[in-house]
Amino acid sequence: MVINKRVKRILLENKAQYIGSIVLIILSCFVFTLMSQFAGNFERLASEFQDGYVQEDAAFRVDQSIDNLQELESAANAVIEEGKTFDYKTSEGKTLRIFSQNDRVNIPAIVEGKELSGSGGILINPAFAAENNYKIGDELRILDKSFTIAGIMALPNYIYPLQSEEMMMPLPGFGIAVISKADFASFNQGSNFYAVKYNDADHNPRAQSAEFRGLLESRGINILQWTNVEDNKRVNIVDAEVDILNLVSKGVPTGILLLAIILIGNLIGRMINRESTIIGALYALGYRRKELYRHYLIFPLLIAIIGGVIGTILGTFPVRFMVSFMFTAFNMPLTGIEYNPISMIISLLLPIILLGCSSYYVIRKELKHSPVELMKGKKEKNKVNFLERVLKLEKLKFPKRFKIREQLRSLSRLAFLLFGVAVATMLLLWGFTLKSGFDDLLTGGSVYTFEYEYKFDKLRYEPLPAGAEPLSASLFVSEPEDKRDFYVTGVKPDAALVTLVDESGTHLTTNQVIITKPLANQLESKQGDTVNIVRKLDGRIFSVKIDAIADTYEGKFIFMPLADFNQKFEMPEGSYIGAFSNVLLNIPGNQSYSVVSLDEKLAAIREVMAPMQSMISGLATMAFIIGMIVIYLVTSMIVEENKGTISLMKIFGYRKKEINSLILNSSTIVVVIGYIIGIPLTLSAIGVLVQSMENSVGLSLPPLKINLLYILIGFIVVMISYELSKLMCRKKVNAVSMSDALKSGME
Amino acid sequence: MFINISNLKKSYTSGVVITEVLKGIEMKIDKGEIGVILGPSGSGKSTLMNIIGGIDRGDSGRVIVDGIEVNNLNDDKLTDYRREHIGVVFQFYNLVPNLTVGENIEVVSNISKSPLNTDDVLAAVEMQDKKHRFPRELSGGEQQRVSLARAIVKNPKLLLCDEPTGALDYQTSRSILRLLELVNKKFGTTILMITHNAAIAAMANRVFKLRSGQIVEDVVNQGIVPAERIEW
Repeated sequence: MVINKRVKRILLENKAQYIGSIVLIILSCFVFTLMSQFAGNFERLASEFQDGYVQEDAAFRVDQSIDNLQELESAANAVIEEGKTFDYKTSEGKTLRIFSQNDRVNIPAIVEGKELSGSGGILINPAFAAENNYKIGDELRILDKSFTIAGIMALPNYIYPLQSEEMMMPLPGFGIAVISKADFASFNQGSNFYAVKYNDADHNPRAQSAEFRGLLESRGINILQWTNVEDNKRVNIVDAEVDILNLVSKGVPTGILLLAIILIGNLIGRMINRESTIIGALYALGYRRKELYRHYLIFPLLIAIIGGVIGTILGTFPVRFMVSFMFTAFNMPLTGIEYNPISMIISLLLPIILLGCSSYYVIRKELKHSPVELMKGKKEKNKVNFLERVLKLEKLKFPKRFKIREQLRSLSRLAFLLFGVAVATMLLLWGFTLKSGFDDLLTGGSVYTFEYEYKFDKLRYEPLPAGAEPLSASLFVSEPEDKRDFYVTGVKPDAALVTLVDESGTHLTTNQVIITKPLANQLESKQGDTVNIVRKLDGRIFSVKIDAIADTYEGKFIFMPLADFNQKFEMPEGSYIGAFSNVLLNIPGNQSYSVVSLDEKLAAIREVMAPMQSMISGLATMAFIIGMIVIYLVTSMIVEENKGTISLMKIFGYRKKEINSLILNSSTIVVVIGYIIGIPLTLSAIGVLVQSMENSVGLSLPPLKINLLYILIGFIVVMISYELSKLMCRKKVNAVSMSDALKSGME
Repeated sequence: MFINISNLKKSYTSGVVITEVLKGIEMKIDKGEIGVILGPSGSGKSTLMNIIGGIDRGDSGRVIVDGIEVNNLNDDKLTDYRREHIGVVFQFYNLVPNLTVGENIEVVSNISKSPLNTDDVLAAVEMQDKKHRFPRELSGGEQQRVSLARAIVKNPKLLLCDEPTGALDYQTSRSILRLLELVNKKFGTTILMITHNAAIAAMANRVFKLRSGQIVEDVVNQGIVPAERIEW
C-alpha cells in the first residue's frame, strides 16, 4: 500500500518517541533473556552437578564409628560413605576445612587441574584459591605435611561454602580442601561423619531419612547430628537463588513491558487522533478498515520486532559472564552454557503479542467512528474528562491550576508518567533497600557482644576462663515438614555476652525462656504462650513456655538457661557444646572445634556488599534511563499538545522562563507522587522476595525499611533525570513559533 | 500619532523565490481611534498586523506605536511590548481547551502589571455566568466574547483583531462588533481590525485598503456608523 510509505517518515519525524519505545522494549527483553537464561543455566548446572557427583540426601554424625557399613547399606537401600574432616588454620584469619576424599557420595568435581592420584595431592575450592592466589602445582602445608595443589574442585554438599550453617554468607578466609583418605589417616585427627544417598529416587528422601534414623536407633547407634540435604544451607541456597532469579526475570521485564505498552498505546492513539481527518478522507476515498488497521499496526509491530530482536540478542551475551561471576560465590563446575530456545522465543514473541493486541484495541477504538466523525475530528481532542470537570481548583493560584489542568488533560499520559516514575523508583530503590539491609547488619549488631564463637565436636564439661560463656544448642522446627529451622540455645543465666532487650528497651536476663521476634512471628506466639517444637535430630516434640520476647531480628532463637536446656533436652548435666568468648580459648589439641570471629562475619558481609555496589549502580543506571525516557516522552507529548497554547503565550508576552515554568514544570508534582508511590511498591516487591527466601532457606530479616539518606539519593537521581528531560524539551518549547496560533484555531 | 508607520517593507524567502509582502507601507492612527484594514487574501494584512503587534519584524522602515520604535526592539523588549501594550483577538478564538472561561482570561491577567478584574471583564462581555464552563461548552460567538475579554483584561493600549467576525454568523458578528465599540469607548483602547468584510469599515475612524503589499487607499471616515446599525 502506498500509504505505508508514510511509516518511515513518521518514525523519523518522531524519532525520540519511537526510539524511547524501542529502548524500553530492548531493556525489557534484555532483562528477561538475561535473567531467565541465567536462572535456567544456574538451575541446570546445579542439578547436573548434584546428580553427576552424587550429592548426599542427608549427612549425620554419630558418637562412634559404624561397623559393617555394607550390611547397613543394603538394609537401608542406600549408599553410605564415611568421611572425615577437621579445620586447619593456614594463617591468621584463614581456615581450611579439610575432608577425606569420597568416591561414592559427595564426590569432588574437578573444575580445573586433575584428580588426586596417590599421596601428597590436595584439591581446594575456587574462592580460596583465588583469594590466596594459589595455583595448580603450588605447595600447601597442612600441619607438618606438604601438599601439592592438584586441582581446583567443588563439593556437592558445599556449593555455598558456609563455615557454619548459622551463617548467611561465606567468610572471606574460609575454604574447603580434599585430600586422599590415606593422607587424612596419617594426621590421626578430625571427626567422622556419614553421607547417605538413598537408592530409591522416587521415594521422598525426608521420609526415607526418618526410616533410616529409626533403623540406626534400632541398632543402638546414637545420632549426634542429622541434616537432610534440603535443610543444608550450603545447598538449599541454590534453590533460593533460582527463586529470586525467576522472580526478577519475570517482575522487572513485565514492569518495563507494561510501560512500553502504555507508551506505545498512547503514541498510536494520539497519532490516529491527530490524523483523524486524513483517516476520514481515506475512508471516504474507499480505503477499507482492514487496510487502515494493517497500516497503523505496522508501528507497534515494528517497534516490538526491532526491540525484541535487539534486546533478546543483547541479553544472551552476558549470560556466561553472569554465571561465571555467580560461580565465584557458588562452587560448581561450569561445564557449558545452554540457551533455552523457548525463553528466547517468548522474549521475541511476548512484546509482539502484547503490543500488537494493545495497539489493536487502541486502533479499533479510534477507527470505529464514521468517516464524517473522523473528518471533523476535533470533538474528541477537546473533550473535557471527568477529573477536569469535577476538580474545584478556584482557590489555587493560576500557575498551580494551569499545571494541574495540564496533567489532568490526558489521563493515559498521566498514568504513563506515574507508572514510569514508579517503575524507575522501584529499580532504583530495590538496590538501595538491599544496601540498607546490609548496612543494618553491619551496624545494628547489638545482641552479641562476644568476639569469638566456638563450636566443639564433642560435649565439654571443663570450666571456661573469664570472658567466655558456655552454650548448648539444638536445631528445631515447628512441625516435621517445616523447612524453617531455628536454634534453641542454652546460655549462662545472666549471660553478659548475649544482650537482649524487650520492645520497651528493658534488658532481659537470660535466666528465663526468651524468643527472638522473627521466631515469635513465625510460631505466632506471644509472651506466656507454650509452644510445641520438634527436634530435628530425632523428631521428638517438646513444649516450651515463652517468658519474654526479645526485640531483635538477629536470627531465630529461643534462649534459655543452660541447666534448664540440659535437663529439658536430656543432655548430661554441666555439659556444653560451644562457647561465646571475648578471649581466644586454649583448647587441647585432641579436641576438635571450629571458631568464628565476629570481625570475620562482618568482613564477609562487606565482601558480599562489594559486588552489590556494582549491581546497585547498574540498577540505578537502568532506572535513570527509564526515568529519562518516560519523563522526556511525556514532556515532549505535553509540548506537542500545547504548541497552540505555547504559541499563544508567546503572543501574549509570556517570557521563556514563564512558559517553561508553566508547561515543563507541570509534571513536577506527578514525578514526586510517582516517586512516593514507588517507595511502598519497592518494599512490597522486596517483601515478596524476602518471603520467598524465608520460605526456602529460613532467612530472617528485619522489617524492610529504606534509609532516609537513600530515599533522598533516589529522589535526587529521579529529579536529575527529570531536569535533564526538561532541558532537552526546552529546545522544543523555544522552537514553537507564534505563527502556530495565528494559523490555527484551537476551539 | 499613536501608530506611525513609514516605508515598512517585508519579504519572505522560500528557496530561491523571494516574495515581497509589504512594499513600503505608510500608516497613521491616532490614540483611541478604530482602524480597519481591508484587503483580499495575500494582500499582506496579517503580516502588517503581526509587525505592529510585535509578533513579526519588518525588514526595513519604521513602526512606532505609542512612541515605541517596535522594529528596533530586541526579543526580550519585544516580549515586554506585547505583554504590556498589545491585546489580540483571533478569527478562531484560540482559547485553551482545558482551561475554563475564567482561567482562559487569567492566562493573560496572570502576567499583566495592573489587569482589570476578571469578573468585571466577563460582565462587560456578558459572560459572567459561564465563568466555570470549558470552551467546548460554548457557542462560537460566546467563545469570541471570551477571546475579547481575554484581550482586554490587561487593558491594552492597542487591541489587534484578526478577522474577529470571520467565523461567526451575522447576528453574533454584530454583537461582537458592538462589544469592540464599547471597549473602544469605555477604555479608550485603540483598535486595529483586519477584515474581508467592507461593511465593517463603516464603524472605523480610519480605513486602509491594502492590495499586493501596498496601501492603495487611506480614508478618514467622516460618517462613522455605530456597530449596531451596520448591515451586510
